[in-house]
Amino acid sequence: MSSQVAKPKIYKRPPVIEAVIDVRFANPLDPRQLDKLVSKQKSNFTIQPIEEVEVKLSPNEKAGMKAETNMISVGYKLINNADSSIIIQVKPGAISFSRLPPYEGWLNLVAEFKKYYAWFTDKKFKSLSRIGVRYINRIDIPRVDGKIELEDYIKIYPKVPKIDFPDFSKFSLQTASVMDGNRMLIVNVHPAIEQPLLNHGSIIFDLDVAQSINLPENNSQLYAALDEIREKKNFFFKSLLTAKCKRLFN
Amino acid sequence: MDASPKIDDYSLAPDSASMAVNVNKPRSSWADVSASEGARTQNVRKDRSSAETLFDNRAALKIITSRYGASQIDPTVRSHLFFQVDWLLNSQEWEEGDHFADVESFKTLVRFILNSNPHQSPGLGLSDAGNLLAHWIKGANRLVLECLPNDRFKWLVSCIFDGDMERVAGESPSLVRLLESLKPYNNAGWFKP
Repeated sequence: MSSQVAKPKIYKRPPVIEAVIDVRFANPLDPRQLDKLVSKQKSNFTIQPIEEVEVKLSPNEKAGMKAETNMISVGYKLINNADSSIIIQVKPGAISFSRLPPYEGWLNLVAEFKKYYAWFTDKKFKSLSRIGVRYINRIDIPRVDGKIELEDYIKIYPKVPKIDFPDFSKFSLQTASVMDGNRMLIVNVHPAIEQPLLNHGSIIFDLDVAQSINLPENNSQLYAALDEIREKKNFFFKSLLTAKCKRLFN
Repeated sequence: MDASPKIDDYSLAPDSASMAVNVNKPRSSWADVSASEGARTQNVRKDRSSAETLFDNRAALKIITSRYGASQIDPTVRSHLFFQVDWLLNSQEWEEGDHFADVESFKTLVRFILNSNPHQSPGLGLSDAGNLLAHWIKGANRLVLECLPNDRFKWLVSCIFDGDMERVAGESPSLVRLLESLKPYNNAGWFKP
C-alpha cells in the first residue's frame, strides 16, 4: 500500500471545527493499564473522567421492577494544557484524537495522532476493530434578504417542490453509504446550534469515513489506510460543495 | 457470510443514552458526538479539586472560542484572549468564594468579538455573578461591556467629543442593538492597537 499523500489544498479559512481520527481495538486494555497510561500524560494534559450512567433493574415486590442508576467511569478525556485545542479520548478499547481550530492540515493532524497512538499502544501493533476519520465543518453562509440559499453552497440538501413549499426553519439530513466494499461514508448536514455570525446562517457539514472490516494488520498499513480514508473524505468534501462555497474559505 | 458493512452497524442505531451529549442532534457513526461538545455547558463536579475545576472552566472558554471562532477569529486576538482567560482564572490567585466564568456569558463575548472584529482583544474581568466584563481603552476613550447570557449586554462608553467627555451607559437586549448603539462611537479607536 502506498503511503504517498497528495499535497493538500490549503484553505485560508478552513471551515473545520473539529477533525478526528478514531481507532478501536479488538482486545481492550485492562482498566488499570489505562489508568497508568493516562497518568503519564498529566504534565501536558488535564484529565477528565468520561462517565456513563449504568442502570440496574431488579425485581421489586411493590413496584414490580426497581431501577438503580450509578455513574461509572468508562475512560478519560485528555485536554491539552496549552490551549485546549487537542482533546484525546481514551477508553480501554479505543483512542480518539480530536483537533479543534485553528486547523493546521492533515499532515500535522496525523503526525500528532501518531505520537499519541504510539503512547497508547506502547509502539506495538494491536489488532484493530475499527478505524475512522471524521471532519466536522461549519459553513457560515451569508444571508440574502434574510435567507440562505443552501443549494448555492452545498450539493446535498433536502429537495422539496419549489412551489408553495414554506421555507425551512429546521432540517436534518443524514446519508450512510457503503463505499469501496469495506468502508462507510456518513454525511450529516444540519443547521449549527451555534450561529456565531450575524447575517449568516451556519450549517454543519459533517463527513465521517470509517472501516471495520479488512482492517490493517500493522502500523504502516494503518497509517496508509488513514491517508486513504482522508483522501476519500477530501473527495467528498470537494464534490459536495459548490465553487461558491469553497470561495468562502479562501 | 456477507462481510460487507451494514448501514445498521453504524449511524442509525441509537446511541446509548449515557453518551448522548445532545440527543436532538443527528448522530454520526460515533458514540460520542464530538470531543468538544461538553464545553457548551459546564457543571462543577464535587470530586474535582479547585485547580482542576479552574482548568475545566478555562478549557470550556477556550473550546468555545475555537468552535465559535473557527477560522473567523484573528489569531492574535485569539491568543491574547487565551492569555487573558489564563490570567483571570489562575489557580494561584484563586480564593474560596471567587466565581467561575459563566460559559453562556463568554459565548456572548465571543459573538461580540466575531461580529465587531476588533484588532485587539479586550481586558477581561468577572462580575460578582460570573459574567465576563470586557474593556477596550484608547487614551481617554473606553468601552466597557458586561456580557450577559443570550447576547444581552450592559455597557458603558466614555468618549471625547469636540474636547468634551461624553459618558453613556446602556443595556442592550441583543447583539444587533448593541452594535447599533455603539455606531456613533465607531471612531473612538478602542479597537485599534
